[in-house]
Order: sequence, then structure tokens, then C-alpha cells
Amino acid sequence: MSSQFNERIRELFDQVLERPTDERTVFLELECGEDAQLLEAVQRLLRARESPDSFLQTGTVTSRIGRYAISGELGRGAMGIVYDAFDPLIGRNVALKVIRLKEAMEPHEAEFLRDRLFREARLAGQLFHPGIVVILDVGQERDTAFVAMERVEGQTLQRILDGGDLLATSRVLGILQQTGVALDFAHQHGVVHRDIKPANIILQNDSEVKITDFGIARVISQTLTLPGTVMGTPSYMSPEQLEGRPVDGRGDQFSLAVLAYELLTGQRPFHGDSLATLTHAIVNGKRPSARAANPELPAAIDRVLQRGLAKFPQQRYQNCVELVTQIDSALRYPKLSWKVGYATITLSACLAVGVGILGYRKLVSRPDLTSPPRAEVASVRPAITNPTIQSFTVEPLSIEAGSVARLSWRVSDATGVEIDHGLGSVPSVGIAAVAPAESTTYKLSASGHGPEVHASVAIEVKKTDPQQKSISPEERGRELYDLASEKRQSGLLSEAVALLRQAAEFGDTRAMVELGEMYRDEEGVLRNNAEAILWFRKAAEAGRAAGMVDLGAMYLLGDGVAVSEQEAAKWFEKAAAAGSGAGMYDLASLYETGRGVPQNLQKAIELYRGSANHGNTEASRRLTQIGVR
Amino acid sequence: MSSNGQDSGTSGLTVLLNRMQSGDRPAGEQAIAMVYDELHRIASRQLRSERSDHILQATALIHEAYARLMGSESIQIQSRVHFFVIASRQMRRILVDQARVRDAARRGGGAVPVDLETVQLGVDPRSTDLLLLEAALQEFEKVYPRAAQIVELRYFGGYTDKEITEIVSVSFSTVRRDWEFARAWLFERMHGKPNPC
Repeated sequence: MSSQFNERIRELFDQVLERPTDERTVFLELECGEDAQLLEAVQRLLRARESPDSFLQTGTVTSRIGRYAISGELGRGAMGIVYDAFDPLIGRNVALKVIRLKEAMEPHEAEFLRDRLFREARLAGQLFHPGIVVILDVGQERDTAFVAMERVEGQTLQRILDGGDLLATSRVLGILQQTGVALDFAHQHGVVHRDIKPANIILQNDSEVKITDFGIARVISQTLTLPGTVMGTPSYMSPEQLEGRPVDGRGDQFSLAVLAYELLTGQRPFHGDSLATLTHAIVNGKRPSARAANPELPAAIDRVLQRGLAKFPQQRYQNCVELVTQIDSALRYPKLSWKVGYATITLSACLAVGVGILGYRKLVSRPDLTSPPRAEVASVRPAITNPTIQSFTVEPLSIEAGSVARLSWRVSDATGVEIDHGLGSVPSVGIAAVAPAESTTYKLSASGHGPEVHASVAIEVKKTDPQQKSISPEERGRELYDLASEKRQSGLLSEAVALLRQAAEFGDTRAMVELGEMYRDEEGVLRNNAEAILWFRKAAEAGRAAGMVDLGAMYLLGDGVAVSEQEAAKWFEKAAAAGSGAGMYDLASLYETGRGVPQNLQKAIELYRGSANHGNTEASRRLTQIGVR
Repeated sequence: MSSNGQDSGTSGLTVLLNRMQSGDRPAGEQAIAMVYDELHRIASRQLRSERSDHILQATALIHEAYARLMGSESIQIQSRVHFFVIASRQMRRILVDQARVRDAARRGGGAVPVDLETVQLGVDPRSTDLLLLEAALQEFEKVYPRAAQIVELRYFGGYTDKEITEIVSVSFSTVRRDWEFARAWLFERMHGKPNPC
């Protein structure tokens, strides 16, 4: 076998495993093509990969605790060691948390601890939720108590935070959301975690939250906080817990708010040089401003976090999900946060208008240009933080006066697969002409799916030719509309949407209607009835009949607006008056059935006739149906 | 480099490792022998006195050998890395040798006195035949040397993935991928149907 062949095997093996399970077979077959030998070799390895977990399990000398075979150490804390262990009865790997009861403990204390531990484990053992590490077994062997838990591959959030970088907002929200859901689930089942902190949150595959040590972590650390041992930090602990008052799910909510604060600012909200001062800060101190710690956060975040961090449980949110939802919407608007992707800025300067290859270009300057036009992108920021949709905003983008800028973006996921590309939107950029007297600032946003998305933004700025006669907004709108139609016909829907938006903003009423329809019909853009209505209304108010008909239909169906047959009738009427066959038909059907207008068959027939005369075949058919010629 | 570590064996190994790094082969061989002897000695002693609740791991063995051979001297990182690489390789040797002896004894080679026989050292009872593994690993090594080294460090040295990233200086994900690949490859070689090609 050639080394090239071996390398290829290795490469494919890795690539296949990066794909979702259901795509693997197809991917592999496509990659191997005609090479049956290669296919066979990789398939064999993939099958072998399913070999028993015990194969080559680490640890050269085994030892047992209870029935569990210990094969390695996963972690070590103040109160015990977590081992990588194997359950020979069930034949699976587990994480075995082992607590030495004897060390520095009186027998009755040990007994008390063990009983509490078992009680908590029994309680938490009822929790089956994808976001919670399952407790499988508890037991004792001599002076060692152990808890067997589901073995989760991944690293703790603490580990990730130790890296020192702020996580992307989308990732932060993903973590908080999953944690909140899992906590609420536990609370509904009467289990409070009592020790939510980054070290107890494991991220499986770097994104799926698994909360570990439900109920048991606090028992262990509390009881084992004996002279000479260091108690874990109470930084995340609620005031009621520190004061020994009853703790319910809202105590976990407090901890979650501390966690959110830390994830968003890189700092913990409460500080103290000693346990006493820290406790004092949590119980009595002022609720800190997250915005003061990270000025890029929107003002709304403080209100939300301060409620989560409220001293008394009854001042907090109803549940953890509500807290997270509020955090999400506080971050969503307006702009926020920190750099997640990278911006590729391309500047070019040339006289010709309409060259428009977007991409990586060198700065070209012509001798007849006094100064090259400039565009600057300060940063790429995420704006929407729905876990599946991520939108990037580039701002501020200043474009020098007397220039034309074209912007494009390309969004790809972590593996480099393109998710989205196109020209700018929100508000329109794409091709933006800047009047000679002013410079302007734009935003560019792009959206895509997936937890990790990279956006690259290319900007091309051209000096407008001062000799060239400036074109009117109407002409510009028409040009853009035509360009949009071309794009739409070639199936480049998101580009079409961006261009329609610009055309609409230049006052092109056809573009307004079509843009609204794109939003309504989810073409090239996510469905957004409010946006659709906005554009229909603009078109309608500018006298475009199609806009009136579309707007009326929205009212009639109650899409994005409260149902109002009167309002629908009003707009159909206007459309009909403007000579729209569709408007006449729709209005006729309202008269026929007496919706929004008094029933009037005569009027309905007149309108159907008018509509039929405008070539509306539906209207002719209706006339035949009701027996009128 | 410190010159005050005149403690007998201690600086000896450091010097050897340094010389080895500058290409001194005999020094390298001497260093390896030294590590092997020490590991073998500690393993025998510890295993004889092992109680059932005593958790003993290859890593612990290696660390003890390290402490004995290198002392508390501050040592160049490069030497440390070399030590761990050598120690894992020597652990492998000890375990494989022991398996050979056991194998020979089982096949009726007569009563061979084995100093490590009292305890099941090395192979996890659930895992595969060590000699078979050794044969497969030797083959694997020729084709995928880096992944093979990760197997050595992880399986024989008992290092965690995290520690391995430091020893081999590759990324964590590379270690995981190499390990996954190696595991599949070795399993396939040891248990798969004979390869037609």
C-alpha cells in the first residue's frame, strides 16, 4: 500500500466522522468514487471504530471499587476523585465519583454525609433529561462512598473559561438556554442543584450542555469543608443559600445569572478578598452592572441580570428559561457585543462605475484620483442570537463622500461550507451611492445557520466620476429593480431581496410590493409578516394598486396584523378605484358575502364584471357560477 | 542549567538526556536502560505490595521513576518530554516482555519464574492479547508514526489526552482523532477479517 493511499484513508476517516451520521455513507461513497479498495478500507475502519469501549482502554493496572473497574482518572476535586470506570455488569463506561469518608472525619459525620449523599443521589437519580448527567448508582465500599454517573465526553465550562477569551454571544446564549431548560426540568421534579457553576457544566461535543452533580456537589463540599480544606468558591451561590435560608429553583436561577454575567463580561459579578467579604458582597452588596464591565453590552442587559441577581427569590424571574429569554432579547437589540468572525476588508479605487467583482482586491489607485476612497469596518458583530440563526452586523461602515460602495458577504460554518452570501441588507447597502457632499454610515448584516459561523465581508468603494451626470433616484430605483429581477430569475433570491430593498428605498413601488411578497412568501429571506406589511403599505400609500391588494389580503387573513375585514375592504376598494382587476375581484367577493361591507350582490356582480374586463379569469368564472353572463 | 544537582543518579539521567538530544546515541541508550531498570524495579515492588483498594497506574509508576531519576532539579522542558516518551516506550517493553513470558509459560515452556506474575500487570482483563496488539502496533507505527506514539503514551504510559498534547505538542483534537483512528485501525488489524489485498 502506498503512503498516499494510507494518507487518504486517514483523511477520509477523519472527514467522515465530522459529518452527521446520516450523511456519512453517501459522503464516503462520493469521495471514493470508483476506488473500491479505498472505500472498503475506510468502511472497515469505520466498522472497527464501533469496537467495544474496553478495547485499549487506558490504565495498565486495574483496580476495582464496588463492581466498577477503574481505568483512569477524570478529575480531582477537594472532595474526591472522579474516575473513568467500567461497569462489567452492564458493559458500559461510567464516571465514578469517589468520596473518601474516613479522612478527617468522625464516624458519625461520615455516616451523616453518606446518608445525605445517598438521599440526594436517589432524588437526582430520577432526573432523565438530555441536559443532565444521569446518576446511575450509588454505593459504599469500606470507607469509600461512590456515585456512578453517565460518562460524558467533553470539557467543563470552567476549562473553556480558563482559556480567557470571551465566547461568542451565540455560544453564550446556547449554553445559557440549555442550562436554563435543564434546570427548570429539575426544578419541576423537585430537585435543586445548589451548586451551579462552570465546573459543573460539561459541554459535550463543545456545544451540548450536561449539568453534572445534581444535588450531590453541595452535600459533599459542605460536609467536607473541614478545617484545613478549601471550600469551593461561593461566587455563584445565592444569598438565601449563604444565609442558610430555604433554597428553591430560584437559587439556581441566581447562580445562572452569575454565570451569564461572567460569560458576557469575562468577570464575576461579586468580588471579595476573603470568604467573608465575598459573602457580604453577595448578600448585601449592590447588584453590579454588566455594562460597566463590558461597555459593548446593551443597556437592557443590566435590567435583566439585576433581576436574576435579586437578593430575594421572589424578586427574580419565574423560572430559569424566562431569565434566559430575557437575556436573549436584551442582547438581540440593538447592536452588541464583541468580535466573533473576521472581516476581510477590500478597498479598491477606480473610476469606472459598475465594475463589481467582489473579493480580495488590492488597493488600486489611479493617478487622476486625488485620494483613494475609504471604507472602514470596525468589527463584525453578532446581532441575533437565536441558536440556529446568526446574523452579523458590520458597523460602523463609513463611506467617503462622493463614492459608490458595493458590499458583499459570505457566511460559512466552521468547516468552511458556505451558508449564505450576497449583497448587504438592513438597511440597504449593496450598492450605495454617496452624494458628493456627505459621507455615510451603513450597516451590513448577513445571516446563516449553525453554532459557529464565520462571516467575511468584502467592501469595494469607488469614487464616483464627478463628470458623470448624476442619475435621479427614480432611475436608480429602476436600475436596481431590473437588477433584482435578473437575480430573482436566476434563483439568487437573497441577492434579489437585497436589491429589491434598495430599489424600494429609492422609491420604486414595484420593488416595494415584491419585497413585501418575498417576506410574506419566505423567498430568499425568512418570513416576516410585519416587514411584508410595512412594504405593502408603503407601496399602497405611494399609489401602487398591487400593494393595496396585498395589504388588504393581509388584513383579511390576519397575517402579521389583527384581522379586519373593514380595513381589507378599504384597501381593495382603493385598488379597484385605481383600476386593479385583482382589487375589484377581492372587493366583489366581500360584497358577495357581506364581509367588511354590507352584503350587496348587485355591487358584487358589477365588480366581478369590471374585474373580468380587466382580464381576471377568476372573475369570469365566478360570474358564470352565480349565473350571470 | 543547574549544576548543583550532584545527587548520584539524578543528574546522571539529565546529563544523558541532554547528550542524547545533541545526537549522542550511546548516551540515549544508556538513558533508556536507566529508565527501564527503574520502572521495572518500581513496578515489581509496588505490585508485590499492592492492596486491593490501591489504585496503581502506569502514570503513577512513571512519575515515581521520574522523581527518583530526575529529582527536583529544574529540567529543560525538552528533557522532560524525552523522559516521558522514553518511559512510555519502556513501559510498553516491560508489559510486552511480561506477556511473552506468561505466554511461554502457558504454552508449557515449563515453570518460568516471573517476578511480576503475582498481579495482573498491564493488560486490562477485558482487553486484548497484548502480544497481538504489539504485532499490530509495530505495523501501525510504520505507516502512522504519530498516531502510534499517541497509542504508546496513552495506553502504555497511561497519560491523559491533555497530558499527551503537552508531550507531543499537537492539538487536543489531533490527539483525539489520532487515538480514534488508531483504535479502529488496530482493532481492525487484530480482529477484522483478513484483508483481501
